[in-house]
Amino acid sequence: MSSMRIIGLLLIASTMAFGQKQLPEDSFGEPEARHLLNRAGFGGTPDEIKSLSDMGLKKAVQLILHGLSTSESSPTAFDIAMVDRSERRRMRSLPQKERQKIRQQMRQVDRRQMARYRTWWVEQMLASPNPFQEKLTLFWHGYFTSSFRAVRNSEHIINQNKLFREEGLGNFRTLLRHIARDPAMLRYLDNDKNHKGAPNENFAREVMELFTLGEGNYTEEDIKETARAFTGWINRPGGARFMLRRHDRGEKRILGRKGRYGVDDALDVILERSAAPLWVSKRILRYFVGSEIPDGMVKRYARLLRKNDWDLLPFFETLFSDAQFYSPLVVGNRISSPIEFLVGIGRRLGESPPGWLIVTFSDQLGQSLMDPPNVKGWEGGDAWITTSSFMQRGNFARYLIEGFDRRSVVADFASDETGKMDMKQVRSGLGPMMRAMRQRRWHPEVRMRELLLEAKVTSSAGIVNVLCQRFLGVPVTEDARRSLIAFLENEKKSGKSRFRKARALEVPEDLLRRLVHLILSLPEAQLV
Amino acid sequence: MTINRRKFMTYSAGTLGALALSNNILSAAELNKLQEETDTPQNILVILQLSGGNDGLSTVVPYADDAYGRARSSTRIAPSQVLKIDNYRGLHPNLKGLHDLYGSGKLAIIEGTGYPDPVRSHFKSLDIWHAGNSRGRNAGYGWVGQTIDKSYPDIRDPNVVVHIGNKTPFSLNAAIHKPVAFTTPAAYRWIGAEKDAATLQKSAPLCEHEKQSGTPKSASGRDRALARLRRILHEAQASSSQIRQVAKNYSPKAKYPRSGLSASLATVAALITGGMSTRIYSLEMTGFDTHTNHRNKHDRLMTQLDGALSAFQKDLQAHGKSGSVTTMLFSEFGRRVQENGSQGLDHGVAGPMFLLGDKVKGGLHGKHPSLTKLDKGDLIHTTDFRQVYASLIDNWIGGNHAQVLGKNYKSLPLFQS
Repeated sequence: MSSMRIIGLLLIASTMAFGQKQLPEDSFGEPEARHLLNRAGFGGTPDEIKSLSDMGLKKAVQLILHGLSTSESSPTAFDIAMVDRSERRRMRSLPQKERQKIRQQMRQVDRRQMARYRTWWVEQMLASPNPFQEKLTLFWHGYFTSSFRAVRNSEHIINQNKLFREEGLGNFRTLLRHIARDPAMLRYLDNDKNHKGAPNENFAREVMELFTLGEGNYTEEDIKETARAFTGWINRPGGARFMLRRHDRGEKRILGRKGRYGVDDALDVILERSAAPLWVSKRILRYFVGSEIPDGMVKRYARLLRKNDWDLLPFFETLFSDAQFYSPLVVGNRISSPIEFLVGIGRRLGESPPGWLIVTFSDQLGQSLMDPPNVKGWEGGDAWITTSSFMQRGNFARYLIEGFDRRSVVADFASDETGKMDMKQVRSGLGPMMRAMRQRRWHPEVRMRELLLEAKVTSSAGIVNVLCQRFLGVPVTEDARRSLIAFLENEKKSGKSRFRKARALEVPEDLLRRLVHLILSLPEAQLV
Repeated sequence: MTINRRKFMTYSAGTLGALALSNNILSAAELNKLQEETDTPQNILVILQLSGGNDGLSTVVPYADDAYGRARSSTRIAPSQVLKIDNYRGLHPNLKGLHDLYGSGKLAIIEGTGYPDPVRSHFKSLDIWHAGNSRGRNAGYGWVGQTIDKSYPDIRDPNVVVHIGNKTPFSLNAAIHKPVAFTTPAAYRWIGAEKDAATLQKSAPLCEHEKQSGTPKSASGRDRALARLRRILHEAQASSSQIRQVAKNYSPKAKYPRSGLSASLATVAALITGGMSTRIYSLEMTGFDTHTNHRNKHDRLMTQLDGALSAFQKDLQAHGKSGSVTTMLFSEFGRRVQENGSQGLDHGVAGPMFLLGDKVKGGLHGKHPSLTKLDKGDLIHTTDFRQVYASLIDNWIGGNHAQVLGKNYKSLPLFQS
């Protein structure tokens, strides 16, 4: 990694020659720093935003790329417990019942380990000094995706995730080569069943369609021939193995080239095509820039990829310094995924909610880590927001801000007159959420009142401004600001909440939390 | 019990009231359109998924087939117990209600459904059923989602497709009509106070952008995203109030036995009889993966299924709605013909589907698969499940099945003409 970084740094100079306009140093203020933290990470506290902005663009970008903390702090390691699969071989001689029992136990151990890793990963997103690494890992997890449900092996999935953590900012060609022999991917796209005389085209198809070229840039014949080049890989305990006798050593014709290609040769032939850097840069930009990519950007970044022989560090270095990245068309146009939304609340609050809670909520909102819906990963963008998920986002935000215990959750949902529906049904209706929240509670320590004291505000307008700044990734609209101020003023008049003279100290905490709940339920809260 | 226009207006007073106050009223045309869509649709489809792989041979029992008795020593259902359909097959003894419905011509049994190159993994096989395509999820959208998107691209109502449950099945995956999903109406809400919800609506006034700078299409970046989110926020609050209101006003006209499926079906009945505009309801019953002790488990499941479905049908009938509702039952696969060593049944292939409703052409469809001519110990399917989808799309939901399923299937005569 570190030698990679040095090379990357040396390349800065050369990347500047690509026609993109760099953001002038003096244009990098707090709004820009906030945007950078939103897109490269999961947002941050006002302090983090300010210090990033104070250090200036160049230093801020370096810090984002290499970790916010100056010390060489590495994230907490996750120890993979090897699920003992050696039993499998002995199992054949056992009676059916025994076999079934062992199989079930193995599956349970596996599922638990996967659950632990999901939680661990979310905790890294919440607290890691290098949020960009987590964001990038999340991006690659949706790009070269594999799902635990299909692979049914937590070790494989965890190792794939480690690959993204380690190589995510390295070189795309290297990453692709690793993926072609990654045990989880071999199984997920059936390349472990692809051998000489009995080809399976699944992986070859997705490599071209989703990973490198995009539809229309290859023929069915190319897929068939590439699948032949990909033959011979199988999964064995300890990792993927290449079996020469399963490999088709004959000549292949791929994309107009001819040779006795193996897997890496075939990938090289594919990456040689002009469509490849265009496709890859488009997919990266769509994630980090948003669905509306400014004109010309895809082509420029494709050239950059090509010029640096697929190194990714200069790509992101240039992107995060690019004036277009900070243009009004881009800033705040992107809908957060459930994970980004929930982790973002923790990051902006400055206090991490428990990882398991975010995992549970995110599952309910449609983003189950390690279980993307299909080989395309998560569709993203507009697809995240439905009538139900929009309301649920607001509900979950409240639990992250206000805390909960099991009883309060049931009461929240049952407080409405529910007709013939009794409490029991409400309880069972909340299903997995309730199961996960059972016997557990979460109460954040941060007091909204303290946040206001720090900011030294007292007026309703001041309170709304500070809390919006704190919890929203984008500026609040004038409509929302006015209505939130009216809300506070109203509560003040009604006097119920002991909101006397507008001195921050005397605003009841529960009213402030209600206000933050409203802020996080706004359309603005879904955007970064 | 249909919602008439006046009634909808009273709902609007509550749900869209804040809107009107905030001086951002839906245009008259939009409101009219919403009202029209709020009338109960003619044809409603309820999809019930039996998850885990329902054993067809224990559901529609070929009691007279010697091969059945030979293969099923511990799970076999005795001929005397079977609720007979003819001298070859009969229904599981606990399916009394369904047997009666069969007798009155309201139950269609499609035997031996499946697909070529069957997959025995739960989730891969479910994906194929959900997509209606052998590529499964990688085909893009679900068969229901595609049907609704293609047939009703202009409906604006957010409640067109409703799933009762936590995880929306892939079949409902759509580009336009994303499903509304909740386990119980009470859970389908934003949990802030009513007046806070009003604040929220005022914070996100509709059409702000349209008023300022023309159509939303010309908007870009954050403005476009905000305009869309604001609309969904209002739709969500309206949809949530409407669904909770309808559920609250509902009183069942049949006695549902206590079970999860009953509760879900009662919710569906509440929404249908309350005049919701929903065209597709989806729900799930789990527990069919009977690798061990099949007979006991399956018997219980059949009791629950029969009780819930019979009550549902009775309830709809008493409300005068049974003519507009068809219920479809399917499972991701049937089970192995031969028992395993734990009085259970492993994953198999072909199995029956069921259609229930007044407009259904009751009786037997398809062909019972042979119990002696097997493929690796499994029944060979006789009818492609997409033939059933084709009939549902063409003759019930409304649409063109070839457009949805990507090719022509021989549609089955499953509805009365």
